[in-house]
Amino acid sequence: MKSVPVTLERMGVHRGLSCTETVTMSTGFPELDQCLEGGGWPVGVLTELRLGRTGIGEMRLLMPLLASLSRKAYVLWVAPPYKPYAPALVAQRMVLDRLILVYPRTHKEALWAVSQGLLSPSVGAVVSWFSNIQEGEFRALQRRASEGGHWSFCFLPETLAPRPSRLRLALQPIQEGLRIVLSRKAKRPPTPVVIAL
Amino acid sequence: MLWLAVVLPALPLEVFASRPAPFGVVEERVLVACDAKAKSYGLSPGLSVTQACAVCPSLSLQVRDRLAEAALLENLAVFAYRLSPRVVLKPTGLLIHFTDKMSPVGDPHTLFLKVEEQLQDMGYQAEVAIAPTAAAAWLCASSGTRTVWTKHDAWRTALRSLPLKKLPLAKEVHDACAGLGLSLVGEILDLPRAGLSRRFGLDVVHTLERLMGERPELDVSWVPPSLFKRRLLFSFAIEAEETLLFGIHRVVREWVMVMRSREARVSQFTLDIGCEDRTTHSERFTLVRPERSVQVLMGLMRERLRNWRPSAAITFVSVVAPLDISTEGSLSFWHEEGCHDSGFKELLDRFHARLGRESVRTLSWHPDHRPERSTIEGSWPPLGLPAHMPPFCDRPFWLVDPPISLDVIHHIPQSSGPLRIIVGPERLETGWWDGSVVRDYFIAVNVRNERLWVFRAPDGQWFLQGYFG
Repeated sequence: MKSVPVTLERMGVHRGLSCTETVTMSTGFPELDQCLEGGGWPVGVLTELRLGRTGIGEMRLLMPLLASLSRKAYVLWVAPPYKPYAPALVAQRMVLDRLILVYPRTHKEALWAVSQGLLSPSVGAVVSWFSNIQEGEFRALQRRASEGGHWSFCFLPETLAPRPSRLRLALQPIQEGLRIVLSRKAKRPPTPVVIAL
Repeated sequence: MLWLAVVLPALPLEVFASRPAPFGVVEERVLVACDAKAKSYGLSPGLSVTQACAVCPSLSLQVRDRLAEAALLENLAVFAYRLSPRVVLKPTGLLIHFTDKMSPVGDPHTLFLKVEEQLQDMGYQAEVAIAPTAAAAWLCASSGTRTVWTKHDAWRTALRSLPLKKLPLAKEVHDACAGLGLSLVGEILDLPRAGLSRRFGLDVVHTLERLMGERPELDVSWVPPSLFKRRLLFSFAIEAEETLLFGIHRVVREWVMVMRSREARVSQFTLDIGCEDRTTHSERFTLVRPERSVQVLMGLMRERLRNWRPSAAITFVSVVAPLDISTEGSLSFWHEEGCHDSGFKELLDRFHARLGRESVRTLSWHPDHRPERSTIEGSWPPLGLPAHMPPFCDRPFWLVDPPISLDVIHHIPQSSGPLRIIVGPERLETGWWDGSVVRDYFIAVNVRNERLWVFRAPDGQWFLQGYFG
């Protein structure tokens, strides 16, 4: 009698998580690409980004992806914390006409706006900022994200308890650039990466 | 080719809701129409008011309301438009054109019965007739013969026995014909045409030729109004949201049907909801993309009404919408990009409906050195200003607008600890024409390794202008 893990290994049994092939797009930072499964930002995953404060280089991390997406599709930002500065976006080759900024008045509206963006085929990426989000709400967004082919990112404060995301990146500013600690649902030890911005 | 004529002989009477018998309608002091009771007194159209009142003192009179008559006919035309796209309005009725293959309703006889029945349901006294030419159908209907003639019948012969006085000819011609002893259509048809035209003019001959189908008929088709207006009165006041949405759904279904029949779409509309306390809640919708889908329109209204609570029970809903004749969407086959965009516009409409126009913003870049003026946030659609690349070296992603004043300790600006200047200064001196600005910009790092964009004003004060996100 063989143990279950061995059997699974031998018979090539289909397992949802490990066998799904995720479409990815390079982050623009080779060091980070190496650490990510598939070598880039995955499609259909609500990527959780943890940061202590806004303005530590988190946008420069996403910019290569968003800029290249903005040439083909719309990019939706829900509840950005500050006013984006257009010349900086233009300098990063972002197509401004393709950027939609949504400022919801309530938390519920924010959740709604994100899920609408995740349902629309004309939107390529959804970036959202939340100061707090319930686990159930996060799961619901995650489900939506996995239905359509979108890149989606959710900025959350560091202090919040971990949410059940498939990909979580904790961002810390250091002198050399940005220190990123990756943790995935698969139980692997978190790997720190440093990228220069 | 077939024409169905509907003549409303009692139209001037029927526009009045209350008609106490004996009842008559006058125009320019001449009796135009009167009801059966008045006729039994010996009254007939054409009498002067004085004569009529002398014959029948109990007669109640109303001045003819031509506007109401036109409105009534317009309503009837909308009904007729469902049967055929070609409807011709006449002063006292209308003509509907059909091809030989007939109507969606069925063969001519079924159609005849159906139209007659529906007109009766609507409460009109109407004469209906079907004939191969418009003039013949009109003549039959005005003579009240209830005929259904297709081109296979001997309608030309049958027409001859109809009274001449119902033909649309000038009064002098009718008088002259009466003088000649002509009383039937057949008798005037037998006269040599050359002589007729010499005596009465060419128009009479043309009328006869149109009647017999020897000359094309030049009637202007009725064009339905380019505005959809529908008010649904609830027979009892309603409170539940479900019922309200059900009512709206009914209106929307009808509205979409009208749009389909006319190849139209809607790009803006107003939804009014009336309450029992006589307040009307009005919602105005503007769509980025013209629409005509029940789901999309219902979705927009549902999103908008989600947070609205009626102040009292609801008594009516009404929709007023100009119809756009639009081909948008029908050509998506040719360009894939357009397809992509259309889904986006739908999304934008949903955002607008739920969050309001002010919450959905777009960025555009304005060539100005002052940071607070170079970024313009506006509502959709984008301004589309010239977007040539600025030669900016390093600019922050997040703009702090207005800038925050920073504390200075020992000449070092503070923002959660002392700041370390790494790049700068970069002098920005501009705007002498409106709000002059002289600033020295620096890129600074605080103790947490966050990069900030700060500037020093000429008076030595420090400000935080942005974060390098």
